Amino acid sequence: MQTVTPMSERAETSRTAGTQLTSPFLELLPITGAAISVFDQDRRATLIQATDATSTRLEEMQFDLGEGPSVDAYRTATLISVPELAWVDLWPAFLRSAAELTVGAIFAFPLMLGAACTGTVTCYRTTPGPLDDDAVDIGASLCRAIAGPSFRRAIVLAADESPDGQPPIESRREIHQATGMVLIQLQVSATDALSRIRAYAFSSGYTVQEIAHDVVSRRLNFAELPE
Amino acid sequence: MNDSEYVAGNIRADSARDDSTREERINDAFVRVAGTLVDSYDVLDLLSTLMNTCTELLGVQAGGILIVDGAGQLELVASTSEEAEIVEVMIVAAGGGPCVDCFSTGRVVSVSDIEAEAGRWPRFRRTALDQGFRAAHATPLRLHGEVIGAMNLLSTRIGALSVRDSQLAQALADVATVGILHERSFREPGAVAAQLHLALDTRVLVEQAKGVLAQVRSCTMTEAFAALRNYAREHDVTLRAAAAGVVDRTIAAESLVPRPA
Repeated sequence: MQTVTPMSERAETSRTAGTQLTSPFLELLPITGAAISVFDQDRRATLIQATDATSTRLEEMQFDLGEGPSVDAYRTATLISVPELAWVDLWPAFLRSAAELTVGAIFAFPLMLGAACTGTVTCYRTTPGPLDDDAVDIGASLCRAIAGPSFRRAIVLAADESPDGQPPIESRREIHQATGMVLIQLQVSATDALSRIRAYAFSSGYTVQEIAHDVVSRRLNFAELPE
Repeated sequence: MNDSEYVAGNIRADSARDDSTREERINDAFVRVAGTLVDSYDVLDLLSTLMNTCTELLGVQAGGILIVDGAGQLELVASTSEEAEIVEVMIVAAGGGPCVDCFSTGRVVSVSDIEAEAGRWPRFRRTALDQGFRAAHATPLRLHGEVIGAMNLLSTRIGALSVRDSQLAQALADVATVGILHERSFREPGAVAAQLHLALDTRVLVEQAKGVLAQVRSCTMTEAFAALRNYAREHDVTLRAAAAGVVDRTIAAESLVPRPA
């Protein structure tokens, strides 16, 4: 099942770095708190930023238990709306844990980088009630704006990349191009292709950028890697 | 890029005749852009067309449009070339170069001699010079006093744009802003940001589709982009729809013909 990365540490280091990423969600949506998480291979999560302790707890519970609205949002790459948490009969273990928190509604948005789902933005409200269509559109748009920055942040936090020196900006496009190439090489989804690139980078000690560059330069073909 | 026109435009030898030709081309450019705005259109396609027109009219060799993402960083969404070297110069300029200064101040940043800018943007200077660029001109994309991005032009020759050319660059940048934001956006609060974010995400999707095509058709990324663009035009779908179809395999990559840009 799912393993939890040392999230408390990561939340601490990332709190200063990603401050501006969650703030527009609080400003523009009728919610109490929000948390951004990026998932990698095996659905391990990195908490990029959370606005409050409850948001952090909701993420931790879901990653511990391997179930909940955010997990489903990531898995299905769709918005999972839970306007009345009390009425839900899915995710029994998560709901038992969440009962200790003051949470009336949860809205878990998928974070999409093009066709690849990279994580979620989990919004919660202390009181129950749905999000209207406009709020859903705004939330989806905000997710598009932060998907790239969140992913880059996750790569740095996962120590896939060195955070010092120049930001690896010019290779951003190659990561997306490599995702397209690897999804054909392995016949998998864009989400899985990007996960595989990250996992391979992590296990081989190279950066995601370097791996992407090798794929795009046709020096590395994932179809030819040993299982 | 036609080199003889570039020389004529700058030396202004027989300016009367050249001006009329130039005027026609400017008119043509605006008509073409206006035409694409009427029906459903694709932002990236429009911006690429606009950048090609702009560089041609202004006698510069490369150009790109950058817009700001959710972390306040500039992202390249369209450029005159999809070649990695050109794209790299544009992206480095977005990380620390004339574009950033232009974006943060909301003013035109003109660099008439990149080589002379030793202290300001060392990385941009090195990358630009490596690719043969000697001058840069960054124009802000503005909307209601807010700056949403920048248009960057690069020239292989030392020298600043004339006042007139600089004004034309600003007019084309304004058209680009309208193109990005869509007429609807001006009426709906929040829609401005939505259009910007959609353009950013479309660029990611297009890059993924280029990767799919490059793998299936064994072509270059530049050829893949041209194939995608042609497919979108021939089938009257947006570049975004074509890219999404290629990535989720509802459009067979095999049916797209790679061709030189």
